[in-house]
Amino acid sequence: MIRVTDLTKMYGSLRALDGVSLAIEKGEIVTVIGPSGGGKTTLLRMIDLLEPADHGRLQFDSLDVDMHRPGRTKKLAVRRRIGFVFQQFNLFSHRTVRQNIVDVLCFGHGWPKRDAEAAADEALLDVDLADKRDAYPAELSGGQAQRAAIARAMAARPDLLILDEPTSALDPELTGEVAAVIRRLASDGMTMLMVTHHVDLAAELADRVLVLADGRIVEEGFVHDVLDNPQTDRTAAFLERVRPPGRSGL
Amino acid sequence: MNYRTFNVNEVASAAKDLLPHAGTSILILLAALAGGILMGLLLTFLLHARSPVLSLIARIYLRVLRGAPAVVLLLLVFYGLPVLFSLIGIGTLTQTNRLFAVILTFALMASAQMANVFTAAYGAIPKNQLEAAKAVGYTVRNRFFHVWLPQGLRLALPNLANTATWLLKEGAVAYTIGVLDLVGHAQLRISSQYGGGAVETYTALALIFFVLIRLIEVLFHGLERRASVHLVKGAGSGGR
Amino acid sequence: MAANAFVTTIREIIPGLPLTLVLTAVPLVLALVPGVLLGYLRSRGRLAYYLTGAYVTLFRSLPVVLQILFAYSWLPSLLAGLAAARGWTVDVFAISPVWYAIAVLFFNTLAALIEVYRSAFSAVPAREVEAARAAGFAESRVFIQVRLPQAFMFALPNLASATVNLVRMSALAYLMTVPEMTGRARMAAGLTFDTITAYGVLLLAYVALCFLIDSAYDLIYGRFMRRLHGTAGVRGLT
Ligand SMILES: Nc1ncnc2c1ncn2[C@@H]1O[C@H](COP(=O)(O)OP(=O)(O)O)[C@@H](O)[C@H]1O
Ligand SMILES: [Mg+2]
Repeated sequence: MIRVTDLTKMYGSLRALDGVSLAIEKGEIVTVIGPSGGGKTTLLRMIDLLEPADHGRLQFDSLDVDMHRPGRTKKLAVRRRIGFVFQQFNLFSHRTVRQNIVDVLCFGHGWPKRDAEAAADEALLDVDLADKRDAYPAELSGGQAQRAAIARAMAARPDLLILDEPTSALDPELTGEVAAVIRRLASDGMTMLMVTHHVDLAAELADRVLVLADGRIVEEGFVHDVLDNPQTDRTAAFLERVRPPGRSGL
Repeated sequence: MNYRTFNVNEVASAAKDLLPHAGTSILILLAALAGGILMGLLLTFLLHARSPVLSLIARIYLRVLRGAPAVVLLLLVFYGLPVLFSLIGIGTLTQTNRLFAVILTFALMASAQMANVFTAAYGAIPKNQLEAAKAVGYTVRNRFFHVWLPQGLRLALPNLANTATWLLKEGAVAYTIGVLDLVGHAQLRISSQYGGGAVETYTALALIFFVLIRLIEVLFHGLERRASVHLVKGAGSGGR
Repeated sequence: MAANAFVTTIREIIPGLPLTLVLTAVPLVLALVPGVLLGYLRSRGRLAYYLTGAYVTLFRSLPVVLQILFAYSWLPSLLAGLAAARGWTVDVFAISPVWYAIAVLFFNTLAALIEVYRSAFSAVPAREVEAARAAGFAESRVFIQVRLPQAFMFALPNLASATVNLVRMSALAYLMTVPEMTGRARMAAGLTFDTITAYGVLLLAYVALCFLIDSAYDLIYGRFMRRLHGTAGVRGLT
């Protein structure tokens, strides 16, 4: 469904991404893990065309995009087919939860207001936030804010959902409610590309795992192969650090 | 009024005439700033005083100063001072009194600004430092002079620069009560030429103000840098 | 006697109030749109940053009094020269000084508003802008739906100060013989010979006006408190 070829991104002289290629099939769940500063966020932002890459090609079904110069039309087309969930939620702080979703549908996707409002209410029911629909982001807990952000990203029924460490800005006791929502999306067959340090969640949901370090994919494979039997020392060391003691995969 | 060509030489000659009188403007600025800092400190204390009456008085004072146009306050002080003075039996209106009225007016205006600056700076001092000083047994006076004041002043310095340039600008209304500062002398010069060279004289005046304000900014920038160096060292060597 | 002077002063000052309000409202309304746009550009582009910066610095470095003296000694002859050259038939010297006052106040307010909105636009969180882009907003939509409403909200306290400063600046219009409150108070002082009452009442009039303006802004700002802090009704003295 989506294929990225030879993606390179430089920040000054720093190679944030160095010739990354990957493909995701429809219905597949791919997680990306790797050390901090390895380029995970950059990879997700490049796929959503949020910043021009130095080099790279993106094929999204029949769309074929030069990631260096995507052009306005293709840029908007790709972004509208992808839902993006950020580490820090990034809800519009001047809008209520419901308005956040309505705005995205009206101004991002050009829906009529009435349809947008109906879809927003439905999306909020899905994440169990109907009672908070008129709250402002500043009035939500981290878990509620992230669920609202997921509802906002999912309201337009995107083809691909991208999640950047969706639970790492949350207090540990709040990660469960967000994980539950993600689990439900997975069981509905949603195609996902997710960065996470939550190894248990990755092991449970993902079909495949990519390990990204220094802007390169250093390891790639089926989830249990990578998590239980890492092929490189870097991956082993990384897993050692993030995995809760006394457990080994699932 | 007739129109004529702009004479650059006349600007230079006006600047030469006016520059010696910059001293008066600078004197007003420095005196008002000093007075404003002292009154601003006092105000800050009143504002945070335990007594609700004192803090209410300080808040009303700030309200009044927020809405007071400089010219209006100046006129009120200028005409009010002699009355106040005659009540306590001091002489009458002279050029010195005019100067005093101007300085007092702008010290009042600066005090309100400084109170806001100090209050903000006070809020920015880590509270645990004051607690620590208290725990170590600093007296109220020591806490004020060794913890509060140096940090407050450093945090206030960038705003102090703003207050200084603002004072110099606002101070230009002093000529309206006949004080012979830069603007006052510019007016004298123009009227002595029967209105001739007005545009050139004002151009010279504008240039002088522009340079003075840049100078103040550079000066305070230097102070700021020195203050932060000094305080970093001071923090390392511990309290006395 | 004093009571008499008091009444006379009030009678003299009140007719000056509409002009004071005009001298505040007209420059403010005129400067609002260019102030927002230039403030936005100043917060973004490098060239725009320096160009607007030069404008702001110029007006921040010149006393308003001096600008007024300038405008009064220079603008009429400049306009007259222009009129003569173009063969216009307007009598430049018949233009009301109110227009000169509005022009001077406008240029100064514009400089203030550029700074107010520069800092307001800079305070809009970059991640919310990115979220809007990720959701498929066109850049114009990002501006209208995210940057502008947030900047509007963040700017309110400084906008209140800019408005109060404008009221205070407008007092200088009396130097151009505009009969606003200060000009009328001077006339009252001439009538009653009680300068202290005249300027005392005048000061109170300005303080009351500024208090009302601050209260109005506080009321508007209070409506945004939930968005900013999550709790309703936190409000403070400005
Ligand atoms: N906008 C940027 N400007 C400069 N450097 C950046 C920028 N964004 C990311 N980087 C750098 O790129 C590298 C990868 O960052 P990131 O993708 O955020 O890593 P990760 O998400 O894996 O922790 C880091 O070294 C980071 O400092
Ligand atoms: Mg990251």
